[in-house]
Amino acid sequence: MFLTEFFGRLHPLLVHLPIGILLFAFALILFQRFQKVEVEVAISFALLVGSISALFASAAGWFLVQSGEYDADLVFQHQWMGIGTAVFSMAAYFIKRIRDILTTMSVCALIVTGHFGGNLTHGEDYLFPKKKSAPLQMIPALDSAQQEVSKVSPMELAKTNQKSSVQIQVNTEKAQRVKTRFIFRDEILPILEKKCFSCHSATKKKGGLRLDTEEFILSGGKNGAVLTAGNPENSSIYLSMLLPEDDDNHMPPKGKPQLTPQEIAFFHQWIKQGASFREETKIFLDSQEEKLEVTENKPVHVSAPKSVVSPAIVQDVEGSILKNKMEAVPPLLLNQLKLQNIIVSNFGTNSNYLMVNFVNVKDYRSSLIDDVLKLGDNVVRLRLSQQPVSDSDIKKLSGLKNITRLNLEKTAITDLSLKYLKDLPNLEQVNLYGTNITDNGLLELANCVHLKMIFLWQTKTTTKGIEQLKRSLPKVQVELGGAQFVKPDTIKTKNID
Amino acid sequence: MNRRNFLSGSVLGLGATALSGLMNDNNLFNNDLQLPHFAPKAKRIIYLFQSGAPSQLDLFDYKPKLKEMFGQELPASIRGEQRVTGMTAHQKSFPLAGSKFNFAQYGKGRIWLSEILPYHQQIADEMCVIKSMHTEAINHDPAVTFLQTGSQQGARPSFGSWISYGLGSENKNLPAFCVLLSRSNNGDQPLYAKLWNNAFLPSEHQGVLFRSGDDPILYLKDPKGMDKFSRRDMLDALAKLHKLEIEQTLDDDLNSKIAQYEMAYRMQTSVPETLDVSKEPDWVFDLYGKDARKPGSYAANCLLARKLIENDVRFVQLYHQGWDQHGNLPSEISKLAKDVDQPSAALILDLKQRGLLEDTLVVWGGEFGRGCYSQGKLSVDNYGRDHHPRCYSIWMAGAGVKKGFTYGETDDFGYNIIKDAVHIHDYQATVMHLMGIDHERFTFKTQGRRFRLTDVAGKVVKSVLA
Repeated sequence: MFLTEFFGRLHPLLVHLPIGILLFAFALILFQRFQKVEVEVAISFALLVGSISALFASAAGWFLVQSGEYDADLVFQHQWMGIGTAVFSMAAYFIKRIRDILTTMSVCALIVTGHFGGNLTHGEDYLFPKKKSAPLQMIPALDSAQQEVSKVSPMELAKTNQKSSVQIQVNTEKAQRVKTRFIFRDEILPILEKKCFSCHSATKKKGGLRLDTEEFILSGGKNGAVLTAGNPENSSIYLSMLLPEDDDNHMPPKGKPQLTPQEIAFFHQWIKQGASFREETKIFLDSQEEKLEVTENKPVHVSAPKSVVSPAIVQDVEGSILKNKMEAVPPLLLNQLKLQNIIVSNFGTNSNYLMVNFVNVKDYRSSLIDDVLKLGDNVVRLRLSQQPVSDSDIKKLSGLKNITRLNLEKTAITDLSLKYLKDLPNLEQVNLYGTNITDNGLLELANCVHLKMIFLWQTKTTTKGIEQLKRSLPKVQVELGGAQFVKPDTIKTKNID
Repeated sequence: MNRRNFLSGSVLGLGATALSGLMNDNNLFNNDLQLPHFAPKAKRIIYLFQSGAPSQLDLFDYKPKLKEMFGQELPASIRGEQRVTGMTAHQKSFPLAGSKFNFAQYGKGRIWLSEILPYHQQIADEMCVIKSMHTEAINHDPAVTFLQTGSQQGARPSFGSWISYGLGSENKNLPAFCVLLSRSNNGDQPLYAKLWNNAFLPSEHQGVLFRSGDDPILYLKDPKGMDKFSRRDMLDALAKLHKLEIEQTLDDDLNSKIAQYEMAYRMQTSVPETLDVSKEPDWVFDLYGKDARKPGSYAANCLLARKLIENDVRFVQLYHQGWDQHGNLPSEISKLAKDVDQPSAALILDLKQRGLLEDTLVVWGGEFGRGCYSQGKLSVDNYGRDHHPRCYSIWMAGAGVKKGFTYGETDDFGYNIIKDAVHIHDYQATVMHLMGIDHERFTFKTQGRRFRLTDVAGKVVKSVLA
């Protein structure tokens, strides 16, 4: 059993032999015909080796089908074309009289076989991507745009589950906000389609698992069920996404497009709420539940077994921004900035996010900020240290939504600037040392919810202002600077012995 | 006809040169090496090199057992096959010498520090101490060379040159790799320019040594009677000549030459501006210690390091000489500790308040450790220590490393590592990683093979990363 399985797995390797050798035989035939040279011996030999390798490839292919990971219908065409290739090439070797015709037929069969084989491995729309089609016919077409229903109790909602938006008065004490949405169709299915179908659908069912219809998802794979409604921690479909990428059971496998934390959060949410394939109702009992809502560009807290995903990673706003895909900035624009002595550097070979540094700028003017604005959402860090930056310049920065670190130390900004900073929703760190800001300005920073670090050395802020800010942003760290050492002769060294 | 002639002589050659010129113009970022490989945690490095090998047993690695067994022989099972230098090879006895100094734990991370580092005690919360460094070399020059270039024999680029070559400079008016020297006594172990050499990398990546005094870089100023404009004209004409030569020979070294002439010209103003400490307020000198007013001292160099980093210099390399205490260690090391303790700690505080510690990595350490047995006569108050490559301690602080953290452990004798060993190449790989560089992918091909700082070894020490 093991041997046949092993032999079957050699199929992808073996198929390349007939492809190469038979095409070469065909090339020799053409060569002989048009160049009027005698290479009949070589042609015979190539056809012999080619047809034998085709035979082996076909045999290996047959064993591979026995594994059951491939769809029998799709394999059918590929299988018979493959056998045809072997037969024709064999015939071409023996019947010298019509060798040209037989070889041509064999090569045609070979090409078709190859194409079908490619479809099996890479998916049908690999070579000619199809326009988006809806592969799931099982989902009843429901009008399920997100709808807000107010004051609905879960009980009553269950009774009226056919209609999605109904106003019902209930006399429960607590008013509840209810939202209905079709999480499977709108969120889960597109992810499955994009990142799972290539191995788990009609064409290929790795591990005996198909994820392309409700029945298949529920029936699981070789290793049993993958989904436990209401319990993500017990659903291997979810857990496999959380495993470290190196783990053999991690899905999608290493090297394939991975799920983003946000997508994983959708799965968690979906399974937690019963893993419904039809329209689904969510009830927010309190605001805590609401936080589970996933919104774009905001890091999402993925609730998972602690050992698997550390929440610190998700709290890292810059880190999660850098994970999102971003278009590259036109080289011309970068050149233009370079000519103005603005240093732009990137976050790694594969990242299009940028750090912008004004350290070389000698003749600062507002128009330079306008040039930086053209970089848009690509800018993640901006360093304007020691430049005569004015408040109106800072106002313009609202166009740079992805800024996480902003260096404004020793600039000419005032409290007004800090008011504009709330337009930078991802700000994590701001350096204000050596500026004229006061407590009034500081309080404006309360709106920057992701702020983790503020540098306030040599400013006009006071401890009172900082304490007040900390009431809004309890976790923010403030660097006040000005630390001087305690002179050693005044320290009593603690003796251990 | 060789390759160069062929290229420069043929139409193809002209096309190719024109194309490469064009590509350089469109060079998107500072370099065409596709660096950094991934998002860097640190953008700049200050390397406080303690040359001569400070005794870890008297500064960081607290070993009460050595005091307990004071004067007893070092067990043969511990020493094993370790070679010793010619300076102790003749010794018939290897009496264990516990540190004379008291130790205590400091900060949230409960970091062990000796009483002769009272200022370090105050920055313990920023420190990440590695107690399990080990090296292959047993003598100073090969060991320093190993740490700086990844090879004991030299003729390889220095760490700073690699970084300069790989990441370039943010500040175009200052060299990406600056070197500052200081010493405690005359007659210390010497250091050579090969330690900050570019070796086979383009020569503009050589470390630029800043001397103390009025003339930090020799021959930078225009000679008497030459004004700025003549200088500019001269450089323009020279560049034209160089370019003519490049067309003939395609020799890349000439590009380096042009770059260096231009850098020197820009440094004529940028260096005096940057290195001027006369406008620094008094409290700065209180912070770094009064030595900071003395040009060429370690304290003054720490202050300069801060000023260079403030101007976005990529790699600042300090060397402080004098830690080679084979005899009279207790009194000698107290003196050295006094030299470097306050300025090193002050640098951390100063970088921190300016927000620079967020993206600057500071490293403090020597080339190897010192032995747990006395070299020469052992008395209660006096002992010496010979070289010891099997373990020693360094510390790091700043961007990307854990704060208030100790990594690695040595045995009760402070002789062998018992947990989490960090080889020189591992340490180099880790610093590279912090700068966003995969040390295995960052290579330079010369003489038919690809070279890298970590040679064919090195593993990133993930446990010290924040």
